[in-house]
Amino acid sequence: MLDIVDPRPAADPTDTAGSFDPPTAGLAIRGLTVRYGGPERAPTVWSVDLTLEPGKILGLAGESGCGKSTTAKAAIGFRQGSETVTGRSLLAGTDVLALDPLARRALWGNRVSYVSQSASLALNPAMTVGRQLAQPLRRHRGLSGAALKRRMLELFTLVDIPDPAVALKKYPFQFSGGQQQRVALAIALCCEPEVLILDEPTTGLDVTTQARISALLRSIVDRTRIAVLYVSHNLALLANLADSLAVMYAGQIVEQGPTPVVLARPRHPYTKILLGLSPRLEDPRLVPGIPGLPPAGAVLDDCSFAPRCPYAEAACCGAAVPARRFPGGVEARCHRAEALAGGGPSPVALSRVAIPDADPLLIVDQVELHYRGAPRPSVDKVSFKLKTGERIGIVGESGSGKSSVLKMISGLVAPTAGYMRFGDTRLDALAVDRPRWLCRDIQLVFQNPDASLNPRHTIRQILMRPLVLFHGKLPASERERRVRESLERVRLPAAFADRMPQELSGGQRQRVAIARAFLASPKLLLCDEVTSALDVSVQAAVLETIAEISADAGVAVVFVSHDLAVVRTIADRILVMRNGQVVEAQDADGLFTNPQEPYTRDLIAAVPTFDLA
Amino acid sequence: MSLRLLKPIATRLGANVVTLIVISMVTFGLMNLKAPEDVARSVLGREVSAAQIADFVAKNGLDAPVAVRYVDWISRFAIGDFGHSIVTGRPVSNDVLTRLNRSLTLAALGSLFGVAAGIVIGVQLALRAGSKADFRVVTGLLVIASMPEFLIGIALYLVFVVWLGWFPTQAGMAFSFGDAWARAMTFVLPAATIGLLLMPHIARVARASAIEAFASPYVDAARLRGLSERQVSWDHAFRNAALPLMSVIGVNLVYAVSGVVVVDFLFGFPGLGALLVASIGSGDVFTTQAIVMMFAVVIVVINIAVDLAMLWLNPKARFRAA
Ligand code: SF4
Repeated sequence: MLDIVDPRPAADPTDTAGSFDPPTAGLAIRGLTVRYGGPERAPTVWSVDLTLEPGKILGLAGESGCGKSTTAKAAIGFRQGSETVTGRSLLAGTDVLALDPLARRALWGNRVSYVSQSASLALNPAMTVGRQLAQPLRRHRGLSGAALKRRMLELFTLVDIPDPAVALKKYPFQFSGGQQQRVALAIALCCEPEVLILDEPTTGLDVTTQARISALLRSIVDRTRIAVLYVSHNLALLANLADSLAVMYAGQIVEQGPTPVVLARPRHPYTKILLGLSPRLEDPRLVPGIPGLPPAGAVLDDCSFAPRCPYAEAACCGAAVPARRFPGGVEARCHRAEALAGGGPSPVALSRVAIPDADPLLIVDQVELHYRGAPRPSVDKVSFKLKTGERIGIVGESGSGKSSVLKMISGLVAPTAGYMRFGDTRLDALAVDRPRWLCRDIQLVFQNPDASLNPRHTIRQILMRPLVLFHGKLPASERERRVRESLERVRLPAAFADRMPQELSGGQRQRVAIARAFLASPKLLLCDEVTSALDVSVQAAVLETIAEISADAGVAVVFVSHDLAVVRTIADRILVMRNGQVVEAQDADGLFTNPQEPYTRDLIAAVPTFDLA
Repeated sequence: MSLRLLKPIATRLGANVVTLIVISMVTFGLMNLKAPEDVARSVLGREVSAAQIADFVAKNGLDAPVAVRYVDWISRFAIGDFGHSIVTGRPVSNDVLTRLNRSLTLAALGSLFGVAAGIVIGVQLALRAGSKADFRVVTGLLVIASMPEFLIGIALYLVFVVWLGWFPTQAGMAFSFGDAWARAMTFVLPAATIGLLLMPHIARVARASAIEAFASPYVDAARLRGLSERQVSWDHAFRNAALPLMSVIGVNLVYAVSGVVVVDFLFGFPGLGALLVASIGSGDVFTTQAIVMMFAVVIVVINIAVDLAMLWLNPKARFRAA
């Protein structure tokens, strides 16, 4: 497998990524290939070379299904099922993959540690965190009694858990998500491992929590000289944290090198596009989403990116593309890297229309939602106005009450105080009691489309619902035409009408949900974290769709998200919420260039950016 | 922790006392629907004089209003005085308590066998999940589980009593005339029947929850901390698998207790079930009431025990309850 990599220029001091000579410390992954099923099946991970150096963080980026998690687990010899793993993974000269299962287990948690995405799932719910921390310490270090206790307190202090002695006696569910991840980190670090693998450790956490954990990790790496592999789909986060960056696509590393070099001069078109697709605070524009979906496994006889690559040419097909070296210690798998030296596709702003100077479509006035028994209101005197065609974003951390605002507007819960008006109608009734036209005019799309798409209906049946419900007397041919048209608008093939929801990917289902919302011909679209579960390429397509349709039809949008950068791309005006209150409301540009409130500034500062200065 | 648990224990006790009172009212009501004269007649026979009936009614206090009799009965019951049988005249508690003792031993032996075998089989299946053996055994368990209880009992009776002749044909005889060994032997078949009734349910749930627990992320995480497979299984997988299992065990213990009625009948075992059938037949009101209440108390105790075991296994519920 190693002969795929071209011989590199002899001496280059910065040249460490994928080096041939395994370093004496850290972890050197060479030719790692993972296959599920026989040799006829495309490998899930193919010939991956990565070098984890002491005191350095290597970021492994890529979209879901690209094989990055599989790589991370396979690299430390953790098998999940029937997969065959070939290649080597050298820990100070010892091939971890060649060890017998018992010897491997003696390494795990001891010299090599792994932290998985969701600490809330990785911690045993029925055991105090103290016991869970004690187990590997007893096993690998033989600690007990006072020494064990001392070490445990030390570890909890290391990961900044307040009041360690009390915390040790608690159960995982008594901690917040961020603290659970700190606990998981403490367990991973307990035996002072040489290598730490982090698999999406902060995904799903608030940006501020994410930023704090990243800072903690950096300081631990600097202090302990541990070698880290950090797997994430969040390129901006890796850009801030990782010393070097590897980008994975369809089971292959398509580009890797020192982070500043890769960011400043991405060589592979996929890296360029991924960078352009990642929303940034400083620029609301995105590159247009790329068509198609990644292949299921590695493609060995073409460039695996060719079907979606805007720069593909005949030479890109017919053979696997070898990794080649470029100045600055970068390796990339693209024939045309030199020819494409310039930037990638240029970003464009999402479609917008001028907002007419008319009466507001929606008025939310001093609205409050106070659940009985709750110490404080979930939504506390929130007011805003929205005009036809206007797009408003609501950002805030989990528990800020941003989703509750949408729930009240859509009539899923009733406000406990305040006043809402839509056009000339008071919005005080719950959805079930609202007149049908009002339900048509206000459409809500959720984060998780699976919950709202009936799994036993075809996409056609799903899309017909709003037509039957809200546009009663349409002839069948007209309905069919509108269904097709709506699929086209969300860039799904018309043939999808006959499929079932579960045959579609998550992003495609989300687009069906959006198509359905627009088929009702609403005047107001409420989006609750609609892109949070999506990869950046799909996210871009979904954002484009919403923007385009809202601009075409003059639909007003309330877009709720915890992701400031995403909200930035689509919103004209942004409300920042905290503890149920709106702490700041500004037009989008103003909010990011000139935030007024300290909380907004903290929130903005916590968002990882590509700005490396 | 123990102090924190006082409140959930107290609420559960309170709720169950209410349940018991309701059961006692319904039982008493049903048993005392008949006019006192009819009760007397059903015990004494048809050919009795009015004087004899009046005497019987007065002696057994049947002439008081129902509410008074109920209060009288339940307050005595609460302190362990079950009254005198209106048929034999002997204290009800004597008969009922010996029988209760026997039947509980039987139910306990049967459940122990059923639960232990079920868990062992379930876990073994979970470790082999998806294999041919797994499939066959699961199918077999389904077949057993879908058989009516008397069929299992009859099959055991035919094989071990009639065919092999290992056990006496009439358990009751062994009890009255046999030695300790003979008495012990009488427990085997009824207990095996009860065990076989429970085992398939327990095994299937044990299998499913063990499979789920072993596939959970925290089990992977525990392996990746380098813990031994033993520690992974016992501390991480089984402990969490025990939670869904516990509720099924609870249902099955109740099932086992009610199963004694059937096995008493099948094997002629002189237990509470047999006495219940007999006392209903002879119109022995107080005995019947006492037995029904004993069943109710045992079931309520099982429910409380299972609830507490689940609280112990599930810290989250423990904190919510407290
Ligand atoms: S090799 Fe060709 S298809 Fe592949 S990324 Fe480069 S330009 Fe695109």
